[in-house]
Amino acid sequence: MIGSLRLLSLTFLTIAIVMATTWIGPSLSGPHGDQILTELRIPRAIAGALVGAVLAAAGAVVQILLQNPLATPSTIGTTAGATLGVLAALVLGSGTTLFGFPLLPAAAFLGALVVTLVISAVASRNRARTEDVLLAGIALTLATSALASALRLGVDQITSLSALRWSLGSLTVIGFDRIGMLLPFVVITLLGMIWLIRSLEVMASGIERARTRGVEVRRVRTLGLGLASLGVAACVATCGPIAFVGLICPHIVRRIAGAAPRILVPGSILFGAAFLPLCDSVGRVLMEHREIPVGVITAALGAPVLFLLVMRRSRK
Amino acid sequence: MKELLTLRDATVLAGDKPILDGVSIEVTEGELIAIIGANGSGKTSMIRALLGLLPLDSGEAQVEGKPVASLGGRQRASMMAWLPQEGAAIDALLVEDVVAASRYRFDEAHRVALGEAHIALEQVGALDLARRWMTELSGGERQRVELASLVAQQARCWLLDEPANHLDPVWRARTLRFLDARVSEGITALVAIHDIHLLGHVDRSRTRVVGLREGKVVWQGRVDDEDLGTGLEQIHGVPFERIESEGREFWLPGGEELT
Repeated sequence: MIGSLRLLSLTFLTIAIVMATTWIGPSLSGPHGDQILTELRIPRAIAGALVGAVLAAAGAVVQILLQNPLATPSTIGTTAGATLGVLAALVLGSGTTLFGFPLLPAAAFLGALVVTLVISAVASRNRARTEDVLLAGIALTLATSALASALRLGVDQITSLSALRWSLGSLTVIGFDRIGMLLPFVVITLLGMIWLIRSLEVMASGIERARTRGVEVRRVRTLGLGLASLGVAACVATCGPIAFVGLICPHIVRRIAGAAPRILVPGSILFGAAFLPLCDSVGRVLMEHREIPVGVITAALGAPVLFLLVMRRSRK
Repeated sequence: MKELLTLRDATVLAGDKPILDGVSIEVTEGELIAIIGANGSGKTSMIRALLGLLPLDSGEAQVEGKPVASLGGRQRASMMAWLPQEGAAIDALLVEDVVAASRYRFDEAHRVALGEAHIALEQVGALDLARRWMTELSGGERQRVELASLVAQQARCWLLDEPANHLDPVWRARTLRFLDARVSEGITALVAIHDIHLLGHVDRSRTRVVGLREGKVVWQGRVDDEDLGTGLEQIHGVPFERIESEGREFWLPGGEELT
């Protein structure tokens, strides 16, 4: 672990940033200022921090497990799989239950897991190159998006419009009740990932090496990808697909503090937790009288980052 | 002497072409085995089969008489440490972290693993690299990190796959000397090499040569054996000429097959 004192102070810094973001945006001095702060902005900041932490940590873990700095939930199709799952559940009716379990989060998890496992199979083939993994990710993203679009045609216009709005990825309408539903998944995902750090630490210098050093690679990989899928699915079910957080945050942390998983994973959790609420509040102030969904902001930031990373790798 | 590692009739197929073709070998405690062979002769596959990384189509890979697949990860790591042919994934990792990671099987605090990593680095003369990034090391420096990782894992047997590749002559010699010194301290080692001359740096009395060609063991013996020339011819498929100069011998490939 990073020195515990440093970890503690970084955690406080993150919380301070998250709280500070609630003051960014149109002035709160109006008649409903307090209400806006406590019922809208604070839950929004908290949800953003939770989602950001999970997406960034999932990005870091997937990168290590697939030995590929460009493999993240949004580039390998995990997010798209979860999105398809959610849309399928919406078409069937959002209140539907499956064996007594609410269908929507279950469908999101299933979609995310299937896509992630397919990519994992591609990545673990002998001599799979970065390009192969990313191309498979692109193919699966396109396929699931096409299915998702087809599903939207099958519903009435109002549902279709709300599905479209949801699919942009937004933290706007999240109250404490939805945070309560999200929280257990966040806790499981993050604790699980922190527990995996010791094995990830060995896998960082090569998967087969890790195997000869005693790591049960298959188990760690299945657990790690399962946790990433679970976390991403919970986030997508809560606030729609928010792209590229899992790419940008670990990358910046890697630049600042190095790629050792015992720093990269907790570092990404904290960085993501501060990053997403910040992006969200930027979306609040960029245009007057209108909000830009946070998914649009992260996509606008992440696409060029991905482009630069791909360019740099192909030069090597 | 106890048998540490065994391959019995090991066959591995790629399609219907065998990569390993009925290979049998016994590695006894305390010996140094040099696996000699051309590119693609099966050296790497043999090492990977012993490690349990390459599943066999028929035959057996055993560690102290037990199938390698039946051992738990940590148990296997206590028996065998591996220096693979391709270098570690190059990432923004600190040298000390990379070496410490090889101590996974000990289940110790990171601080303890770091201490052991420093001891191992010191043993290979690379303590000054501890806080350097893997990305900025030269080939020779990276090799020392690899060797330190072997040391830190504290396994009984080392399997080294072409540790001399991509190294300058001085570092090749140093690597083999280092290996020989560890074997003299009780480590068992199996090393794949291209070049028979590298064995000039090790104690010949405990060194055994295993020659591979097209996935088969075609010759076994010692460096001092009379028929080493015949062995080299069987391994490489061309006759070898022995040249002696100032008490050292050299083997040069010759014959019409070269052209």
